[in-house]
Amino acid sequence: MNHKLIRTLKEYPIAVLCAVVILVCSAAIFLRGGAALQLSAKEADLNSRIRTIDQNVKNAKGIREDVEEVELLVEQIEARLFNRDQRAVNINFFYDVEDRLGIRIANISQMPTEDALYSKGGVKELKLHSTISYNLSLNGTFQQILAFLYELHRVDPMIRVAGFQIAKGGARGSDGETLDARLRLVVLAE
Amino acid sequence: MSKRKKEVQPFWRPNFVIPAELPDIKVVRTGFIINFIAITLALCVAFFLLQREYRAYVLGHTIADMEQQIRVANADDVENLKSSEAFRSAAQYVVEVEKFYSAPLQAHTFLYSLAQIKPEDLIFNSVSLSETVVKQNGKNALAYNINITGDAKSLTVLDDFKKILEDADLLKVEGFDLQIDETLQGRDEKTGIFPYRLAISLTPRVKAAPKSGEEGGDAS
Repeated sequence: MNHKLIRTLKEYPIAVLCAVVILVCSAAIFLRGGAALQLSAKEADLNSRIRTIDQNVKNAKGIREDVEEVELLVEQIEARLFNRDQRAVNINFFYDVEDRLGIRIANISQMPTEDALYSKGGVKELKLHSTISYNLSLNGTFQQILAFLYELHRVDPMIRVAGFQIAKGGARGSDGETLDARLRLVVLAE
Repeated sequence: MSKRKKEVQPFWRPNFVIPAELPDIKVVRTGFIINFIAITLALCVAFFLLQREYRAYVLGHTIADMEQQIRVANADDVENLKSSEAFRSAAQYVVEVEKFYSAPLQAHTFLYSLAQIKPEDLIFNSVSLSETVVKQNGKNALAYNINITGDAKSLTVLDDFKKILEDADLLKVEGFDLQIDETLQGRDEKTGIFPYRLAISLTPRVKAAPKSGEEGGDAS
């Protein structure tokens, strides 16, 4: 049997050699197959990384200037915030406006807690700032009250009139009928 | 067509032919076919292997180039990402300020505009604006309530004012529904004027839920 096989093999030496080549190549393909796949995967990863870097470069066009600009803006915002601890300074701010506009502030009360709207879980929850709420009662003519509201909008500190009630006061001054106003203010704080 | 009959001859001498020893007289020899197939297969496998190896070699070079490219660009990329992060965190402050101010009505502009559109025959005794939290689609949202009380010198003036308010840009706020309810009280016998109360509400518009039919599914 063996003798016959050897004889047959000897009869086709080229075919035997080719069979050996096929075996060796197949083994190499099998062994190196994983490496090729790994290289392909790595190439895809690197391609994706390069694309990301290119996209970052495109997106970052002028970003340093933008950062400087926005940081300057943040500094300006910070400078306009009320300081919760400076209670007297904060209240004095409203009296300064009173003096300028000739309106009379009857009462100012600072609320002990933050406005629920802006605190945690509120509809307008703020994460980087806090708020201070004030209730103001003031008397003046319609023009004076309107000017006061406009002044609150215009001034540096960031103040929002969250609610108001204006009613006839009964008295009549030289400039017209005096109104009583109750304002609910929210001021952005540190 | 004629059929040729095989001539069967009787063995008149012994046949000493050994078929295995006879030369291959086929047109294409068996050895040639076997060698051809073997060489073809070997060449195919070798070509496949070489092609893969060449591709791996090219990939190796490409990867080395890419890694070099990434090494060069990485420092700038890190810097860009830092800048982007700095921008994002700084922008949050600005976004919060915008969020703080966001409201459909500003007190001073609202009062000014209200005074502008008020008919002469209508007297305001009080005006108020307040915010309330309402539930919409399971989420909290802000609604705005405006109350105006006063006296109307005639019955029609209140309706006119209501129409003016409905048409005014002042209360046309995107994303909010406007509702105006008026209450007219009995005429004051002495002055002949009608005390009234206007309740204006701006409520966030409810987004229409998708119809159940649009979601598809089995109708069995």
